[in-house]
Amino acid sequence: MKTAPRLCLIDDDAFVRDALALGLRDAGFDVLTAPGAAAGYDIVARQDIDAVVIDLNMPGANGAQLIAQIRARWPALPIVAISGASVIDGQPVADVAREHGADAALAKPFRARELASTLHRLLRDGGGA
Amino acid sequence: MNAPQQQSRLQAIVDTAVDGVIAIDGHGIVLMFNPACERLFGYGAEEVLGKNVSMLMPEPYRSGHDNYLRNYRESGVRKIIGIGREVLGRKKNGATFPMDLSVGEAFENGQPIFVGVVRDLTERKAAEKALRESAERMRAVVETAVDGVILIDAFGNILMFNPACERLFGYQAREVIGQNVRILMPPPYRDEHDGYIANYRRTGRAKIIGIGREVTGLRKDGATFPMDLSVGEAKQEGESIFVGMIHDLTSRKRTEEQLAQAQKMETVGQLSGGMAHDFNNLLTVILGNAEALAQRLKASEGLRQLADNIADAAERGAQLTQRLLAFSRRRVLQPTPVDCNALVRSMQVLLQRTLREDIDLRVRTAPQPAFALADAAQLEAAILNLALNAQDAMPNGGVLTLATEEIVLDADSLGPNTIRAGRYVSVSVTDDGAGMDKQTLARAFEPFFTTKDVGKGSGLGFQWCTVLPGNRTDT
Repeated sequence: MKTAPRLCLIDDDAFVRDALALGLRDAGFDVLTAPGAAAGYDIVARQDIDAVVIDLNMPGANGAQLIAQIRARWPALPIVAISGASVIDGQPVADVAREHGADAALAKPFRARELASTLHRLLRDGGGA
Repeated sequence: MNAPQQQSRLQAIVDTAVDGVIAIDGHGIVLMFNPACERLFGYGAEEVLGKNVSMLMPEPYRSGHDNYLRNYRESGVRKIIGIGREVLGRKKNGATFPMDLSVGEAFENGQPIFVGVVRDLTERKAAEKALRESAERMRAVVETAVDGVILIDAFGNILMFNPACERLFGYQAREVIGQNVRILMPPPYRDEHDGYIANYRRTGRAKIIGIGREVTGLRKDGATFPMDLSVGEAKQEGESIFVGMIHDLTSRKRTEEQLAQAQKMETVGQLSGGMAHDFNNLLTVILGNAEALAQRLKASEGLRQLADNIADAAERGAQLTQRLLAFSRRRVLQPTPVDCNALVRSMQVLLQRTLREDIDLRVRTAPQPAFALADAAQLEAAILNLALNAQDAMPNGGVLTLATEEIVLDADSLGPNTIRAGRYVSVSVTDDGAGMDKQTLARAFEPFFTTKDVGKGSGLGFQWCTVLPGNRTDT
C-alpha cells in the first residue's frame, strides 16, 4: 500500500538523478528513477505514478516529446519539466515545456525543496490543467 | 656662281622646302606658290597664280585682307609683315587649318612684294589639344576623387592637395601647399619623415613608395584617423615627385571592430551556451547533495553550516552562469516596466551595508518616476557590481554617486549599430577614483576583462548585459 506520493524522475545524468531523488525522498516522496525516455515511459505505464519529473535535455531522447506522449495518455498526471538550459531553439524553456503539456518548469540548478513544493502544489491542485 | 645658277639654286630651295612659300604683290596677287603650298592648300599652283591671296583665307580674314594691304601701303603700320603670327588657312575643299605665317617684304622693280612662309600647325595643335584635354581629365579625376590625392616634391613639400584631402585633413589646400607633408602626420612619424625621404634618396630603398601601407593621419583639429596610403614616384624635370593616394579607413576600421566584437560575443555565447547546460547539471548535483547533507547534519550545527556553505556557493555559481548567458544574450531577459528611481532608492540600504565605511554613498534620482523597460533583477545586479567596482577604484575612499536621469538620445548622439534613438532612463554609477586610461576604457565592457588582480573581481564586462536594444523608457 502506498503511503507517500510516488514520483518518476527521468534524467540522463545519474548524479543529478541521485541528488534530486535524495532531496525528494527527504521531502517525503517515493521516488523511482529512469535514465531515459523509454525507461521512464515504461515506469509511468507500469507503476502507480502520481507525478513525473522529466529532464528536457537528454541525449538521444527528446524530453519534450516524452512529456507530450505522457500527457496524451494521462491527461491529469502532474508533469514537471526540468532543464539545464534556459533556452531551447531560441524559446524559453518554460514555454517549450508548457507547449508540450508540462504543468511547471524549473531551470537547473534549483533546491530540491523548491521542486518538492512545486510537486506538492500540483498534487493538491491536479495536473493537466 | 652666275645668275642662272643662283636662280636655279633658289628655285630648288623653294621647290623642296617643307614649309609653304608664297609670294604676293602689293595688291595681294599671288606671284609664287611652291609645292609645299600645293600640298597644304590642295590647290595646284596654276589655280592660284595671278589670283588674290585672300582665296587662301577663311572669313573674316578673306574680306579684310585687301583693306589690310591698302592700309599698310598708306600708313606703313604692320600687323604681320616682318613679324609673323598664327593664323587660319583655307584649303581648296573649304576646310580650315591652323598655320604659322611669317611674312617678309622685298622690292622688285621698285614695287613691294611679300614673301610668306607657311608652317602647318595642325599636328602641333592636335597634340596641344590632346595634352590640354588629358590635363583637364586628370584634373577632373583628382578634383572629384573620393580618395585623397597629394603631391609632394623630393623634400616633402606639398605641391598639390585635392578637395578629398581637404575634407579628410580639415585643411584648405592654400594652407598646406608649400608646407612640409609632416604636418599631416602625428608623432612619431612626423619626426621620422624627413629622415625617411633622405634615406630613400640616398639608398633607393623604399618602405612605402610603390608599396603602400596603413598609416595614421593627423587632422587640423589634432584628431588622428587610420588611412591607407599608397605612394608612387614620378619624375618631373629630372626631380622626383611623389603622388600619395589616401583612403580613409575610419569607417572600415569601425566595421571591423564591430565585427570583431560581434564575433567575440558569438564565441562567448557559444561557449557559455554549451557550457551552461553541463555546468547547471553539476550545480544541481552539488546543490542537491549539499542540501541532503545539511538535512542529515541538523544535529551538528557546525557541520550543517559547512553543507549550507556548499549549497550557497553552488547558487552563486548558478548566478554566474546566468550572468554569462545574459551577457551573451542567450538567456531570455524578463523586461517589465521598472521605476528606476524606486529601484535605486531600494538599493541604497543594501549598498550602505555592503560598501566600505570610507565610501560616501550619494543617491540622486530624477524628479519624476523614471520608468524603463528592464529586467529588474539584472539591473540590480548590474548596479551592485558597478558600485563594487567603483569602490575598488577608490582604495582610499571617496564619493560614490548613484543617479537616475531621463534622457533623450537622438540619431546624432548614438554611434552606429547601437541602441535606437528615443527616450531612455540613464542610471549612472560615478566614483571619484583614478578613472580609466584610453586602452582600459576601450576594453572595459569585454567579458572577463579586468585590471584587478586574479580573484579580486570580474570587472565591468558582465554588466553590459542590461543595456539592450529595446529597453526603452516607457513613461
